[in-house]
Amino acid sequence: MARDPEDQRDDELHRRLALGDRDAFEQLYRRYAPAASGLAYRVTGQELLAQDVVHDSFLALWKAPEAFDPARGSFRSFFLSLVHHRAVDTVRREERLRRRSLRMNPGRIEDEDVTEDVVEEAWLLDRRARVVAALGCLPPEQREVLELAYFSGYTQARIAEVLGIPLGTVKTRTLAALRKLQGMLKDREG
Amino acid sequence: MTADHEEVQELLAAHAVWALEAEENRQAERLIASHVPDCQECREALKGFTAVSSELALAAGGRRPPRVIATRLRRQIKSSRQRRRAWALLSAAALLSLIALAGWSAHLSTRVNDADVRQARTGEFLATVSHPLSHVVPLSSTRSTSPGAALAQLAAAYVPGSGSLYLFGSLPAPRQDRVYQLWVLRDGRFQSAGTFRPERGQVLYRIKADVDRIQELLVTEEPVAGSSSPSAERVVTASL
Repeated sequence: MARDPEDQRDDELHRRLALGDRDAFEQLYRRYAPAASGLAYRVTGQELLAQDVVHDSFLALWKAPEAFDPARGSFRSFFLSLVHHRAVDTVRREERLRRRSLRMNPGRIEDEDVTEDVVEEAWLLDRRARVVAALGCLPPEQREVLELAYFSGYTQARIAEVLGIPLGTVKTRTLAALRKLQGMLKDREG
Repeated sequence: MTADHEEVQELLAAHAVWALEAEENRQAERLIASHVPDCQECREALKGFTAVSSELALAAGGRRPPRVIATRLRRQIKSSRQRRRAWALLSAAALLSLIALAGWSAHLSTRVNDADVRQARTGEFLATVSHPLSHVVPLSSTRSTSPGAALAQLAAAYVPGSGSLYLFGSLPAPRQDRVYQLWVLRDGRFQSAGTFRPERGQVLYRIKADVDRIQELLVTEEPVAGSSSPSAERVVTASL
């Protein structure tokens, strides 16, 4: 399947980054720092922790660009996963989970979506709109499990405990949610 | 789809959203390394879950990052570039004075016999780097848990066809009960070229080898007895 033009642009920037091109790094920073910051802040809930996550993720990219293999997916997917893992690991380490609200507000994503501070390219905003809409179409019980895992950094065992449901149910809801999202995003792109 | 596949994919989905406990996470990573490469269905599933998971990241909303992040990054990148450039610009003359100084300070502080050996070794080394056909190749740090990886400043020097190669530069002491081990890649296979410890943070280590057949050098941190194959604790590497 042909690679998305934005993915191709990322591939080219990454190729230059691997050669130590600082300008390519700056461009990747401008492309992904807002998304990385939004994600890190959403997961950690702490300004300073979020800053560290974003900083450490970009520095890791600079130091080891070879960690990204274009054959395994898009750069965007690789880098935002890196940020997410770091943010979740940070929040677990800091034991912030207990201090944060257990209730997710399904409207929060849309509320945060557009602010004057956001400086992002239009194509990324389009992708965001698509995924927010797809999330809104998930059955509430699946979305709740997915959001507790992804945005609150809960493990599945912890989600089962918090929601008072069997661990097996958490696993099946997560799998079903990802499959549904995958299908919806594919349809919207198609 | 078999029940086993469904279970595997439940695990892969949870791994994609990073929601597993440590042991389950290891189990998922074992599956990703063993089962997934040979199973097209699970391979496609994993790719899809990973892609969807990263799209979810966008749903968090964009946020202008504080200026301090870019400032810190630019400073760190500039200094790492300067280090890289410094290596590239090191001339044989600069290396001579650097190593002579290291050899001299070591000479003053060690026993006579050791010092004699060291001086002889240093002399041979100086002859190598000052040879008009000598090659000096810096070794690059790797991403590793070894503390040496971030601080290593090592290079290899050799004269093609001479049969000797020197590893030299600065390197912090390995962790307790560990040594560094040098590996050479020949015919696509890593072979041990011995273990060593830095002395006062300095390394001058010689191996006898047909350097023309060496494709790559690798330094790892290993248990004191050395290992039969390189561990994941890679410190520095260089392609020849």
